[in-house]
Amino acid sequence: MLSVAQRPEAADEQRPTASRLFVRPRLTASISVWSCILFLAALVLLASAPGLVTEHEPNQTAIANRLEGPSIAHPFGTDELGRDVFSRVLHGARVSLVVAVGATGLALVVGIGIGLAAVWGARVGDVLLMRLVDVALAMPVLVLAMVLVVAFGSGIPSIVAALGLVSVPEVARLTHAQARAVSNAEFVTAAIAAGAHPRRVLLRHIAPNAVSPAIVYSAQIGAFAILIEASLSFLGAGLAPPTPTWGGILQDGYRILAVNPWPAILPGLVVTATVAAFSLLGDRVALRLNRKAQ
Amino acid sequence: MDTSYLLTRLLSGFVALVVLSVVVFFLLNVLPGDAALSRSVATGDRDSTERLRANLGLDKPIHERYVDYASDLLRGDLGRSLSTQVPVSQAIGERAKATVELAVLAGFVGITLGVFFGVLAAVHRGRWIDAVVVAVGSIGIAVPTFWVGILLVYLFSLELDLVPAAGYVPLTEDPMESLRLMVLPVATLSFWVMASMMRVTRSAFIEVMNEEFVRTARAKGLPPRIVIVRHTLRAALIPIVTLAGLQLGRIIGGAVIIENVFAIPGLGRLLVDSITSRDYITAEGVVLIIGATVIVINFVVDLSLRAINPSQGHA
Repeated sequence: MLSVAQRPEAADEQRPTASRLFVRPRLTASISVWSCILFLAALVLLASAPGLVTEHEPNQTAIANRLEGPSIAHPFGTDELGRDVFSRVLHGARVSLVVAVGATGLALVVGIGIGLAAVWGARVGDVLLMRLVDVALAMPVLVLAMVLVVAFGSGIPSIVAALGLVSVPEVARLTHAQARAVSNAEFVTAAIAAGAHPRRVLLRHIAPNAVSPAIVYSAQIGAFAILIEASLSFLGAGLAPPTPTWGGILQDGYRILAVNPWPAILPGLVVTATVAAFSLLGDRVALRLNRKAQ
Repeated sequence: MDTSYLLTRLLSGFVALVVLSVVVFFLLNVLPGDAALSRSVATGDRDSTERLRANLGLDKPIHERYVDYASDLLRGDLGRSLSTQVPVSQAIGERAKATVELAVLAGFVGITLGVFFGVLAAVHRGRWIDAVVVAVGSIGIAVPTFWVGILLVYLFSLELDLVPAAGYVPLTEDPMESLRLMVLPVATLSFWVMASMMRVTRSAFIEVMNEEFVRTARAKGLPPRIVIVRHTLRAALIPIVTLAGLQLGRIIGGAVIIENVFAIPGLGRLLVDSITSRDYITAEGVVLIIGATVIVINFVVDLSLRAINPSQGHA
């Protein structure tokens, strides 16, 4: 899934040999897109019904089976307490996916709102708001997220809120830039000239044409939210144990790295694959929309 | 560089700092259970809560508390740690060394390698080296940094026994040992930095390579090296420096997690420790210092961008 052809910049200009022109870019691109979709679909399915593939409970300890390597019974091995790491990863996927979807939704709603509001309001408000966004964009996201989680308290809703809020500045910036560009378009001038109420101009004419960059970006927000959630729980600043979270599982694995490396290595692969799948799909959608626009 | 730009930029940097202090103060002061409560819980002495609250000024309305807090800040007083009673500014001073060492080394290695490989990929576009750079770039931004750290510890420390797995010695105390201990953390952090720098450099470079002046330079028979370094790289420098500047903020954020993987007593570890032990005064100070550093770095980057490209209009 990491061939050259899938990268947007690389795909559009390659040497025009027959095979490259007609077969490879399309084919490898669609293979990589479909493998991402399949992987994410499988992950969603297994996260919602882990019982399909594993009979182990994520928090069920079994000291007799502790620190085992991968086997049919325990595909990812077992941790210090003899818990089945594969089952924990599937249950951890629930948290990650819920957080990704929730944070993305929140970031889109608030960010688009702010981006549009900045265009709608007076020039001073616009400048002020966008300066604030610049400040927020410059802050290290992980630090910001940690402060927000501390302020909101632990628990899934507060983590969703924190991870949604850290992506708001980027969404606001994207929406704002697009809305500024759109507000100079002829159809907007025409609507204003026709005497449309400013609110109508904003909501019916500018908004529908200003949200697409943010929507396209949403897959990246999801990918990002998964990474930051994992970092938070790795640091012990996310959901409290023993709730299985991807970061928490990796932290548990790291502690026993010297005796049994598998519980640290294999879950990390799943996290990486999930983030890569999200972000690759986002790239493809963006590329396709760009081509269409041209 | 005109003075009006400098003044506007200084002013907005200052505004950013004020906004930061307000946001951090209010976020950490809406917490359930204030400093007095958590301290008296820690000491098991509940009766003293009210007295402590008055002592710490926590009985005043929140806007008055902010004014007190801000005036302390201006005098460089970040308060005292709730758990150790050490002045926060002193704790930060002690811890900053390790973070600066990590961030500077990782920033230098990551940005240098990232620009180098990005240019290499752009020049050999469509060839195998480009494919490798693109693949590493995509993996690099999807992979959790701390997991890269774990893998490196497993491979180079536990399996091959080449470098120590964790620990820190100040550079001033024992330079060789300090650098040896820094190998893995710097490799981990700079891999991440390198990945995103490669992507940026590659696309910026490709864009410039399509410009007419590059074609002209090539057409008049200049050696490729001159075309690449003197013409293309120079023009591509603006987006590259802009993004390198943004990287520095991310490097500091990345240092927070890397320090916790490799047991480096830096600001990131101080932040995590203070948050998990509910020492919010310390957490507040660390967040402020990190934020202020990022704002100052961005200021410097903006100024150097103006120096590279004086024709750029007001940002």
